[in-house]
Amino acid sequence: MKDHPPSITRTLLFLLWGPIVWGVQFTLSYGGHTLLCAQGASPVASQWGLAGLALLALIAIAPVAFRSGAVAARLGVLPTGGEGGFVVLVARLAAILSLIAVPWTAAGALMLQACIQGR
Amino acid sequence: MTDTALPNEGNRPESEVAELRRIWARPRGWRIISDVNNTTVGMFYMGTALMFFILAGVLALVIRAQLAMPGNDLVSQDLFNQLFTMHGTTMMFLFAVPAMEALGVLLLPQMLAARDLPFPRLGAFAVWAYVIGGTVFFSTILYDLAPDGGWFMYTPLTLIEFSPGDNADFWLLGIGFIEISAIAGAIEIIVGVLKTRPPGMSLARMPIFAWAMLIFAAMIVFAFPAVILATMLLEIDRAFGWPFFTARMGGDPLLWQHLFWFFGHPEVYIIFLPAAGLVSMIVSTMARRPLVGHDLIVVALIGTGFFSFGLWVHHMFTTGIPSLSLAFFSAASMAVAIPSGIQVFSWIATIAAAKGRLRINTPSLFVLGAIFIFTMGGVTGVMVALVPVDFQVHDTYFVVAHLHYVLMGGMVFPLFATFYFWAPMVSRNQLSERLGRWVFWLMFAGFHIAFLPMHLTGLRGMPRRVWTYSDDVGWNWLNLVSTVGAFILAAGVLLFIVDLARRFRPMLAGGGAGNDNPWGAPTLEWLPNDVYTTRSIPLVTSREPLWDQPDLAREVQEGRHFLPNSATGERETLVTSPVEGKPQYIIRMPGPGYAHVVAAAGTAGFFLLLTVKLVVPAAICGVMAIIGCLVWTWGLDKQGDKGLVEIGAGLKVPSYMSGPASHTWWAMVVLMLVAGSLYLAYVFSYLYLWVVSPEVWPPHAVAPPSGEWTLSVAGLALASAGLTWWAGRLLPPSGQRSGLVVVVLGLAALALMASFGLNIQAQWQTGLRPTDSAYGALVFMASVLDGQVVIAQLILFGVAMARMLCGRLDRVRRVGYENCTLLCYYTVGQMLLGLLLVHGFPRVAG
Repeated sequence: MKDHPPSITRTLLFLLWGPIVWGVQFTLSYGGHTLLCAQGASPVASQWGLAGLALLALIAIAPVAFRSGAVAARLGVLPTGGEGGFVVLVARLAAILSLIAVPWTAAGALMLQACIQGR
Repeated sequence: MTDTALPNEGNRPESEVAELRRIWARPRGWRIISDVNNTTVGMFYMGTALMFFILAGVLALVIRAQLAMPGNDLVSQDLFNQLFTMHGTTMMFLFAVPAMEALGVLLLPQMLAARDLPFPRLGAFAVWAYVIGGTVFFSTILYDLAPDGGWFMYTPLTLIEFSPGDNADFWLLGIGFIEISAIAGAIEIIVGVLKTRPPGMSLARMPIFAWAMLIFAAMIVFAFPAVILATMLLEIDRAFGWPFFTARMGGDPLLWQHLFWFFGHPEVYIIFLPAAGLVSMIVSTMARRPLVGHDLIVVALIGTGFFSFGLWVHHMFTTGIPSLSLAFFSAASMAVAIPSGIQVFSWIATIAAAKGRLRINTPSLFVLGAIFIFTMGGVTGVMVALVPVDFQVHDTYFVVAHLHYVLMGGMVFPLFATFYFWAPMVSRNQLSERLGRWVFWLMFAGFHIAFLPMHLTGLRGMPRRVWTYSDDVGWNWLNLVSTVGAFILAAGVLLFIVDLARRFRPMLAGGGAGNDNPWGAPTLEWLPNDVYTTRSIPLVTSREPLWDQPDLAREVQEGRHFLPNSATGERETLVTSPVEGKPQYIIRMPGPGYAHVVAAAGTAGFFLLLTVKLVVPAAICGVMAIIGCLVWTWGLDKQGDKGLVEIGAGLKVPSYMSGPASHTWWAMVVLMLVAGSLYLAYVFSYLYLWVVSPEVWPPHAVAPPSGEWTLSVAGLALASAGLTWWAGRLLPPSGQRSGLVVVVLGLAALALMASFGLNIQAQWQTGLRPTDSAYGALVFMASVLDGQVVIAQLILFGVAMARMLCGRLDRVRRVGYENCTLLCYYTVGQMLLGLLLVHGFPRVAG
């Protein structure tokens, strides 16, 4: 038995990292763009802000998506007894799903004018 | 300890079984209401949910009868409004979520081979609050007092000007408190899944249903507080005229929609995810092979849980919001089809991989029906996620068809599959296979006959919630067909009830159910069961233990696994580490009692009597609830650290645990997350109304209190936290008492009260009043929310001081103090955040 079993908080954070980052990007995109529009900021600034936010989110997710084993080892969340594969795989797949979700969420910013009413 | 050696190799004395039966014995006769055992509580829970399903179904039949032909006046328009409101409300709040929680309470301990969930009385409290409150709430339809504003109760229709009388208040207070009951259940489920799994059951080996329930409960923690806040705001608006939703005073009716749908859309997935977990388990068993893409399903559950929080605005596409916002929510609404689709494809792949070995019986028929119906609902879901389509079909019968396809396919059909699949676990008899097939085909055919035409009715322009329609709009035959279908569907449900009455015989008296594992399922709930769950708690070495460990049932029954007896002579279960499933300690659990029943009745009475403005009786009920809770909790945190106890495999674990490893610590943390979610919903409301109506904020309104006030309030709050921390350093050694600790905790309580009172005074002396504008209402609403946690915190201070005076609190026996400290830190944190927002933000923004 290891002296320090994997921390559940860190394990959950690792497992959910991709969706959490997407959630933050989504919240900041929606809230931030609404706020900027309400304050009369330039729509272009709003669009660039959204694109930048999406880029930051992709950068934040990438390590878990592409080097999940190394990240897990670094965080100390690999369980003993060969069970680490599950945690790493689920975290990686959730991160990949989020890598799709982030640009999908931000795509509207490139195609639509910010701050205009839809109807 | 290795994965292959049995924890107990020798024969165990039979007297251990008799001892377990004695300790876990259920009360007989009417005393059964005092029982806290998960099987009893789960069956009460499920039985009540089923009752509400039937009652809401009866309301649906009346609605359909009214709409069967044009110009009908079977029921009055006012009653019709009450009927559709109560149908939706009852199905969503009194049936769907409680039914899923009931399954959690009923199935999880068995599936995890735990003797019970970690907080049996909390679970029982949730059930009784729901049973009493739900029944009274539903009965309002009999007295013309039922709410009539639709199940989502949109403002401004539900403001006091447009909905006078008590009808809307019944919804607001009734639903608000039923949500509290749901949150209590969610806390129980989260801690139960993470802490009371059997040894060896790591996260990787956890059944899919447990994963689904974990995510379901986590979603409740983050979604339900939004609607609790919404109901508080609207009730306060109605009762005291605080104008949160009145546009001319800086409020906004759309705030209600944001808060409601932030809860309401995840609610759909809150209902769907556990059902998806059940479908996964039934598909795997009936296909006689492990689930294809198990890990992908876990990812899909996580993904669905997250994405579902990004969809709420798709219910508001037609309210006039910026195009880009529409794009965000449209994109997210389509994206959620990916994780949902992963699950559906995984089920299809599992069935395909069975290569014709899929058993076709009643549970699998319901599962196949569910997949078919849910997929159809998903496809129309993607359609209404498209903004232009939504503009066309918004508030028409197309949406009624869509939501029923999703909810019936995503929840009701899986639930009926569950009834037929898991009945043998708790009943002497299986339900009838012959009748079951009739039930399925009647329900399946009736459902499509009722709801498929509604797509067309909606596309032809029939709006939702209309009482009747004229003869010449082309909706006649479509409505008639829908009504016929509804009655066929109801005939199927009626036949199910007949089957239930004939065959279902619950095993409340103890003794194993009559059918041990009739389906050859791989999971632990099919181990031989008794009132104490399993004789011993198995060492799990795979994801499908009953398939991979063929002798497991016999070994468990012979007591060769963990805890084959009662190590402490009390009710107890094993706690394992959340990630790896390694034994940590045992929980000593409470047995039957009435305190939680009194607390539940008091809580229900408080909310319901308040609705009809009977303030004094409501206050008496509130006091009764608090006393009930105090009596209930006083007996917990039992002494006697009984030291280390042997559980098998030569392992000795503690019989008492405090600190971050303990289950109570976890429950408090989850409770704080609930309170935090509620407060964040408030922060959102504050900022939202500021964006909408900055003209009622400073500098146009009264300036916030000066910095001296702010610093004084913050200083007192921090002093309270500091004193509470210091009291922890002063706790005496085991068995001793300390007057100083009582004094320090008393000072902490006083500092907190003073901080709270001073904060209200700070705002009041500026001349601002909550009825002035939405700004004033939100400023004082922060104090209302602070007041809630401050009152709870003062009670915890009082309990901790009383425990110290009675010699029930010391350095070892310290759970009572830890609970008090955790909530105190949270309370102070919330108050400081409130100061930043309410005192600081107007200065910056102004």
